[in-house]
Amino acid sequence: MNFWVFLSLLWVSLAHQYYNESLEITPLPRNNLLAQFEFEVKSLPQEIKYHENGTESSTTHYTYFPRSVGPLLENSNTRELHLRFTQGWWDAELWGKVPSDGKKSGGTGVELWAIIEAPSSSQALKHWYKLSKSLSGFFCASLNFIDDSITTFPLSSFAEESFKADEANKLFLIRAALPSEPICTENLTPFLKLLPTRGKAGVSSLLDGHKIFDSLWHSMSIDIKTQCVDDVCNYQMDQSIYAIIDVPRCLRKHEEGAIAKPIQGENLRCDTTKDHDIWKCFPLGLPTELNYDLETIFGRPIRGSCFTDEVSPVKVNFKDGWKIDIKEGLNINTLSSDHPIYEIKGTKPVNIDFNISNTTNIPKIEAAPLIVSRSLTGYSQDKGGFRVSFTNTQDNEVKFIYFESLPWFTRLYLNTLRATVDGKEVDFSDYVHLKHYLPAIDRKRPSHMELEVIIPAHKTLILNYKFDKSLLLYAEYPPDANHGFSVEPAVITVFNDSGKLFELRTTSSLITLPTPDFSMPYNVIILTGTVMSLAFGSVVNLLIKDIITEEEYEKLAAQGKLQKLIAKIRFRIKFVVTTIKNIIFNVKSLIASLVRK
Amino acid sequence: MPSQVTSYFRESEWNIVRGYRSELKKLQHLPTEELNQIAEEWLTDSGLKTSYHHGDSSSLYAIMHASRGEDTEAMVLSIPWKTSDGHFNLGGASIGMALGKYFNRMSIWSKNIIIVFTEDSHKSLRQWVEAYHTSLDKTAGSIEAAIILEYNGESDHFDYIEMWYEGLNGQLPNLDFLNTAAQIAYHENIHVSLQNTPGEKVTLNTYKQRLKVFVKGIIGLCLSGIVKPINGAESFSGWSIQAVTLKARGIKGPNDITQMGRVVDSTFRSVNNLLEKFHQSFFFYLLMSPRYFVSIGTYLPSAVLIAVSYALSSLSCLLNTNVSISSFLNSISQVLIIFTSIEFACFLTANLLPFLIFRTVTDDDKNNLVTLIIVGFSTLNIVLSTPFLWKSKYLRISSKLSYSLISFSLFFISMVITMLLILNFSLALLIGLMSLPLTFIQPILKSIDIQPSKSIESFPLMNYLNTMKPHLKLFICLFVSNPIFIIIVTGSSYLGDNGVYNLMTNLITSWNDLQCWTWYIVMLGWFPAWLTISFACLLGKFDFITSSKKLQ
Repeated sequence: MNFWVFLSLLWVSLAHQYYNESLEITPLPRNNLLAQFEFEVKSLPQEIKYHENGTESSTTHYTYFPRSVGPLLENSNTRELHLRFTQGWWDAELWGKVPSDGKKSGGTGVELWAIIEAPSSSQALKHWYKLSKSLSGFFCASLNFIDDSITTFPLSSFAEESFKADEANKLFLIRAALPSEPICTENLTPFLKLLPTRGKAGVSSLLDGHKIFDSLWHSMSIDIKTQCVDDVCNYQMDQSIYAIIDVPRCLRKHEEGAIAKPIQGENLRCDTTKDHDIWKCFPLGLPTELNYDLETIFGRPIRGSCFTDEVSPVKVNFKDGWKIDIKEGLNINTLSSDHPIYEIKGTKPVNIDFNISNTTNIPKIEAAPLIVSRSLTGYSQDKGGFRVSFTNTQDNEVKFIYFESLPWFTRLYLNTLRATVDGKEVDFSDYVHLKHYLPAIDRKRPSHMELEVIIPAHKTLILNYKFDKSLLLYAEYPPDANHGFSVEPAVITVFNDSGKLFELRTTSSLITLPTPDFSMPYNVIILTGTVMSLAFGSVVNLLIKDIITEEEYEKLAAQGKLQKLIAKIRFRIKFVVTTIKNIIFNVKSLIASLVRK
Repeated sequence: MPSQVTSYFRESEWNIVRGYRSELKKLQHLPTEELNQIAEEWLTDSGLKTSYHHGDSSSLYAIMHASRGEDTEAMVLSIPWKTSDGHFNLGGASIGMALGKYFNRMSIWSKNIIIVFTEDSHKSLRQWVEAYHTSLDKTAGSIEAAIILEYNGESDHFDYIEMWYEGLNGQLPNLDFLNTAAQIAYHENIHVSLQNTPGEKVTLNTYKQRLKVFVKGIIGLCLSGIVKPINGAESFSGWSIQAVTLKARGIKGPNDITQMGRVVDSTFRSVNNLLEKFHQSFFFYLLMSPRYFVSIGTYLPSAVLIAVSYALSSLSCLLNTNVSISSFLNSISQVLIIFTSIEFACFLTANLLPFLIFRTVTDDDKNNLVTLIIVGFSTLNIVLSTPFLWKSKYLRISSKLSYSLISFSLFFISMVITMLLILNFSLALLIGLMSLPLTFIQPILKSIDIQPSKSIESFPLMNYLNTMKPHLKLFICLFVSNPIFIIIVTGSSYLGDNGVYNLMTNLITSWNDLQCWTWYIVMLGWFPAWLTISFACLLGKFDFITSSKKLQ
């Protein structure tokens, strides 16, 4: 096997009872690297009981197991917890299978499922919301938005029960996903805080948000299981971070900064077999010779072993074309010819050089046995459809469960389900068996569909189905309503007779719902307000006032009480004046007659 | 903000563009399939995921999945191998290849980028867009925006950019998208030309120039999808994708080929930054220059007024003649039967003609058939425009019924215009204007029916018309308002060589090729109304002979 070189790079395995960590770096085509960080923590043995609401857990000591998580699990009676933070598109053609058979990475966004012990499903949901709200605060993710409308109880896709519940209780598997949640440093920091090394030493010291989140695809996962021997149980927590790193991009950013400036003329790599001169350059493909070190890729060196009193063995495999140098601080302890093992000892930082003469010399990619892609069909705002294409790349038939939960505002029509195999429409019941379907209830429950699909070797099955989009209430639209609404990725779980083989997920989809123009109501309110007030004013005037001519008005005005009063007073005054005048006149005439006499 | 960031598609990228171009130049005579294969190899080398769509011709598309992207939204750069002028899209394809490589180096993308190579930007692109939304396995989320890039020849320099934006059926891309592209071009010091404005007039900002672009814009929007060259932006119409065609023009100008790439790059980066889709009301506008537009509130009333004028003349047909309301109501069922049967005949013809055209095998057959159709329609036009020559003695309807028919037809046109107002303003406006002579039929008939008035009107035109023989008037009014007349006039005067033939062919086939409904609007909205009116003239009891004698 000289033509390929297997490099399972750094392999820190600690023979520790309660804590183990490891890093594996696998070279991939197109100068990509897959970095797999794995951390395992075990809690001390303890008794696990069902806690009613309000009762506090009694355990106070967890050693390596995070103190913050233990009580949370106990209070919410969570027996298994699975949390996924994933971002990016997994290129199955180039990178093959998702690491760990996809069992440790979710779909785009955040995914959470848990096995909760409870006497009834309503009680289980109560525990579930308690769990999700606490995790929301803990991981700075929008897990608090998990509610009835996105929560499902999967049947066959995620089932993996190892815990035995009380006889009075049952175990409930509950799941929810938030496909539009962006994954960011604020999610990584609490993730690292869970580790006993706090990201300060050991392989976790490589985890720098700037570098991990500049990858092509990355996934963080937390799986907590309860393992019991008789009555004594302990929590086992597996944390893992996978990232696909584009090495040339990392190197360029390291040398030139974040902006992709044009390559300097003298650094252009031109195809000399084609026209080329000082003006012309037909670009060559990717470089096959690369030199870099761990610090350039991750931004930091490994800061010693995880604990000072422990010895961390580092396992490195390399063959032709790949030369690995330990730059500093590492004591080579054992170096077997097949699987050389390096050990990280002490607290000195460790850096590793990679000098590769042929980057295409890589281990064989384990091909994904099933390639799935889901796309939206149609264009209208009132209805749409999904088209899912499954391609079996294997020589034998593949059996899997297709789990899909659509939000309530997409009304799925199962009768529109059509299957096509190799371009010909077939009776879908030959390939697809509807295992479970729970229709959505508006605002209360998403639709939940589990299909069992069998695809013969080297065939492509295409499923088509349609849905209606419903109108939301005015206040239900999010602030960025015109961005569209995310539909969570479908989960595909491949089974064989012995059990679950691997998991994979489609990408999420963005559905455009009929969205009102939110500025319009205000325009309408203003306009109608103006019209209404104008109309109101005139109507009121018409109702309470009478239209008459000026003459009529004067006539009417003369009849008024005030006018009457004035007239009366005038009359009185006139009367008095005339009386006085009369008296004066009488007196005058009397005087005159008296004088005459 | 658009054009605020520096695009780095410059310096050594120029060498790469030239490198691709010199290779493509050697390959330009290869058939599309082979070209696609070579392009696929190059694009895969740059790290893009390639797939094919096999429609009538095979189309290659390459997806650049945004790193860490949600994979739910995409932008399309479409590069037809053959430009709308029929040349090899050498510069465009080279820019496309180089951009594919350039985009893949950056980690800023939140939306995927799809680069599509199709045979041309007509049917094959339209088919690809349709397949993307119905049958393609490898997709990259909903397409937000698309740029169709054309750059003829191998010159390093060009003068200005021609921007084409008309969609099918009166749809337009969001004005914000056009503004972004225009703004970016402006910052790159590239002039943008609309509606075929020649290079020397691009910088003009006069009233006359703006009016020219405005009127051409209305006509262009009306003819989009049915005249060649198809610019490509039409292909994305109807899928809520904002699309614009950018064509580099000239070979000597101050701008270099990478600037064209920078316009694409910066536009994509602007779209990439958008959190929401293009929405709200910026879909209704008429451009006068890249920076001036007329908004819907200003232009819509004109077509509303035209619709109202038809409704009024329809009323006048009833009120100004001796048709009483009761007789109209009595004859309404007759009117409806006649009109519906005419409409039905039109519907059959409208469906039969495309069917026949698609059944032809050779180009010669097609040519003959289309010529036959044109001749047929023209003959019908001439025959029915001269009703006074073909008066039958037996098959006649009362003048009251004819007036009712005319009235109904005018009302029908009014309704068609009203219906089209928002959907396809240009078509509504132009149909309204073109068939305006139909509103004069009733007064002419009346002047035949009663004594021709010799009174002097205040309008000199009316005065002149009054002195004209009513026969001639009737002929002119009917003849010029027939769709075929407009097609022939537009085809021969506006579209150049072989214009009539091409216009007719594209009009008939555009529904099947591009889902452009202009043919059906014409055949089911305009033509039946014309037919009904001319039948009313033909069969109505108007005394043509006596009136003309009276005139003599």
